[in-house]
Amino acid sequence: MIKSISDFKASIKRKKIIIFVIQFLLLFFFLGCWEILARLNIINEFLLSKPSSIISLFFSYLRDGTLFKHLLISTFEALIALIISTFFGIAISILLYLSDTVTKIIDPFLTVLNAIPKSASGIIFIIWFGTSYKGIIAVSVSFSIVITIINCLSYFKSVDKEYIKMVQVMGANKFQILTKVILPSSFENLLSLLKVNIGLSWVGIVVGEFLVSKEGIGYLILYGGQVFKMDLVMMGILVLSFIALGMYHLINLLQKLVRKLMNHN
Amino acid sequence: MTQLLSLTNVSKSFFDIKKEIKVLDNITFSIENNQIIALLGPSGCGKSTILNIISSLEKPTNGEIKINTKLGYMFQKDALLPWRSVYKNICIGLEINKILTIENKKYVDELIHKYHLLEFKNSFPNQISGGMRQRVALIRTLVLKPDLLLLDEPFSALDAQTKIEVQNDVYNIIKQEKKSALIVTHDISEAIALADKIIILSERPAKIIKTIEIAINNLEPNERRKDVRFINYYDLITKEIKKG
Repeated sequence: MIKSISDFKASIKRKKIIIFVIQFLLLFFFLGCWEILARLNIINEFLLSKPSSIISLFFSYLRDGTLFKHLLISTFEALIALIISTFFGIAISILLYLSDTVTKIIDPFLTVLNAIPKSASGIIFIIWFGTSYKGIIAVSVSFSIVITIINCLSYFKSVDKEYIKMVQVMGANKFQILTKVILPSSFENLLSLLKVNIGLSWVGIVVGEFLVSKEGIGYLILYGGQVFKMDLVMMGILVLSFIALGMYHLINLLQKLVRKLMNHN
Repeated sequence: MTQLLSLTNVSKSFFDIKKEIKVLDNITFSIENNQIIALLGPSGCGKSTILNIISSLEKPTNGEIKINTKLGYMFQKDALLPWRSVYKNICIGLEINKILTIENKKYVDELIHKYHLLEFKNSFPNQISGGMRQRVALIRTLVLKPDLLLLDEPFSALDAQTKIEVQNDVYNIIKQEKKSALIVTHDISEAIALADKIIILSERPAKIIKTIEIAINNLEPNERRKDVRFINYYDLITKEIKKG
């Protein structure tokens, strides 16, 4: 029975713990079944691998520094791609916002560019920028920059017209409307855009590494696939998911920090 | 008495590909110093278009507008920016016009103090009441030192009780600061409670049906509502609207 605030808090906490425990048990049960079925030869280990070999492979790669090397290069590429596509995406949207006519002219081109399958067009960027990390970053940027521009423009357009009218009658020019109203009002949306872009830039990096590279997590996965080493493929995918999760939480922290700073000023 | 604003034979049509929509038909009126004028008309008759033309957000199709003063605006929605504190919201006009000087900041503080917003200075718009928000919006306009305030249905987003309080507030602020005002409204009692003169507009296209001087304009809105003549004006205006 909930009779006071502290009871209420306790009940929420209890619920949280129960959910977490069930999630953990579910994961444990899944991994356990996988391991046992593989050991009993009921499922084919060659195709499906098994948790214990993935873990031992993970530790051996960790120990000899291979994993770290590949992880570092991929993370570096993903971060650079994320920064480039988000920064330039927003910057280009701002320029477009300043001219209605240019936006209208460019609109169908943006839609088409966005519709191109990026994994196919990626090869163009590899040829232009080379097979080193530059080409891979370019592929990754091509995955997210157009959709960044499209989303950004629609965020700018969705800003409350009353706010704009209010600063307009006070004599604001277009640049002031942008800095005083449009950008602060789109701030939350831009942060969620950043979150979406994390996922996209990782997809871009992996595709880029599939296309050319000799290092990186994408390369590890592709190599593992080519030599039918499923342990390696599974490990690569798991490492990727954890890194993406980590970056996602990092952005969440950043979001909280910025929000706090904004409210204090 | 100096004329702050005058409209002469102003007409306005909107065009779309299929037809011409006439919104304003031959509107002529003027506002003098320390005068509150109400433009009273049914919803959608083109009242706001008059304000948009005065504030040059739109151009008239015909006619002439003379503005001899600095204008200030207050809208139906307060349009307070939710990410700015009350104080920062009040300062936005000064920031935009790059006149956030020590002198003007002092004026902001003075107004905040005078109109009882001191303890909410650092609050955010979502933390204060609707009536308070309207007061902040008015002060945001006042710090730019306009002589003529244009008020577009400024009370219609408020609930009945708050509305009456805020009307009284706004009236007193306008009179104390010796400003003039043009209030656009569809609410007959609001027009009688606030204005020195009521201009009654017809349905679209808006024409001026009649202009009525309010003789009880020496009273505050709250006192006017209690005066017997209030009902008389109400009846008179209702009749004019029916005739028009």
